[in-house]
Amino acid sequence: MIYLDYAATTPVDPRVAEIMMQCLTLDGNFGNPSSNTHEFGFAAFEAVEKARADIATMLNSDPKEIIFTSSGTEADNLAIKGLMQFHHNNGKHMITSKTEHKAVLDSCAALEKQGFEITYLKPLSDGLINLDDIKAALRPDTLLISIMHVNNETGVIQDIDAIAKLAKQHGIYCHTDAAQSFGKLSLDVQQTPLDLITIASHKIYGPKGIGALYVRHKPRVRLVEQISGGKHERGLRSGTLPTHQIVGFASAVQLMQQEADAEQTMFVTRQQQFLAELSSLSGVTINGNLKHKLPNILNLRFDGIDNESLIASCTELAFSAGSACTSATMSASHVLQAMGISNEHANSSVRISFGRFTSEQEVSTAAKTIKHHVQRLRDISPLWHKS
Amino acid sequence: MSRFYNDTITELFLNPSHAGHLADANKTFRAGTPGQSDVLELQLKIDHHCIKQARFKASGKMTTIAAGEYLCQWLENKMLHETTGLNSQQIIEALQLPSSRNGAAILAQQAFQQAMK
Repeated sequence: MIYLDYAATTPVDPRVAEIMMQCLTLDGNFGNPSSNTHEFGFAAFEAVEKARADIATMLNSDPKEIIFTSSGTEADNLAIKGLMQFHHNNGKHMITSKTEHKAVLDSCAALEKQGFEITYLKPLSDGLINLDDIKAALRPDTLLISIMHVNNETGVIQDIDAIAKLAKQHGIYCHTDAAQSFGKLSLDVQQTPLDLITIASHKIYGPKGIGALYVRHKPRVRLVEQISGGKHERGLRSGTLPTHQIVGFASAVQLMQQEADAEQTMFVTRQQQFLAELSSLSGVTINGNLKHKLPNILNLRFDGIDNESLIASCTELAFSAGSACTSATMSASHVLQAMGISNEHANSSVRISFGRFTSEQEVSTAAKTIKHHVQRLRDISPLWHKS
Repeated sequence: MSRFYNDTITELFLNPSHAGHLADANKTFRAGTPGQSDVLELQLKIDHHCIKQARFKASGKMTTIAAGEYLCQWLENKMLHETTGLNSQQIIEALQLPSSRNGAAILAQQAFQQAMK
């Protein structure tokens, strides 16, 4: 089986797993980082704080600005709900986009039930958000702009630097979900005035179950905690810190620092190879802006093909649909729909995402397999010859 | 995604022996609306009240392709009077279609009923 769904999650790098193993058993660093009466707790605390510092380095931030969460989804919830609820006396409006991850969109929906008002921006047909559309949506009571850095379905990269600067110019907080970009694209909080950044471990060969929220200290960004308990993480996120997950996350970050540049170059090559091998196939379209996207994510439309059938045909490949199919209606990806792509075309689209362990041979096999099955399904179709 | 479906559906979908065009068909009908739903085209060659050959073409989900293949397998070499009881429930049960995919059986039934008119 060839894994081509790295945008969904990545396998833990064996080097990361080895380090995590050292924080699990009695002979390892298993203590509760909050235990301040014995050596086990001290050792765990030190490991967590070192990890926090390592992760902060990637954003060029202060370690104190990193708040560990259980996932990127939780970090999105804390950022959006936490900020809007804290500042509810100062405004009730927020701007986001229709192509955000569900963690953002569902947080926004929850806020709407609490009386907040959300503007959902429609992207351009290539997936990019127009800065002028953000400007036009600004209101005197706008508190927050939340736009994801890289889209998880298309890989499209937003100009988050310009968006953050626009927000700062207007005295509005700015959050980005950087789960897909963290470790792959440079994000420096000394240069880009973001207030809140969501990051996740399992997209960069770290373990699942750990994420973090960057929360700017100067000027201080105030949030309402979403999980109450022992006032861990500076009162913003209670719950015993999972040392093994956190050191695994930090280890994955360090590996990204060493290898990300070479990997990005490798992904460009893999993408070119994949597209070249498919080039003899007609009716293939790339969804999203090819010049402004991560090279390891490809959202491809195969005309005349149902994505579920293509995925099911390629039994030796693991990749995903850009859409979530429902029963009676062919409900398509909200991301592709927001880009103006029809339901029919969205349901003909799949996401292929390469990763650290994707070989040239695997890309070749995957392209040949997909090509074969696209042709097979088109041969079965009563419509294709008329397309 | 195959794991969402059973072995019967998966096998019919992956290895349909009745997919294709029947040059000398005397009954043809297409069910479904392009762009809005899956489409299933059924072709039959009927001789002396017997369905000698059945072929299908389908565009859409794997359950629709599997239903087309099942339908053709079931119809071939049957006398017409033996097929009068065919309905979508039979296809649902034979394929053990999940309720969210019952539309594939309804499409297959529609294609057959219309072809027989």
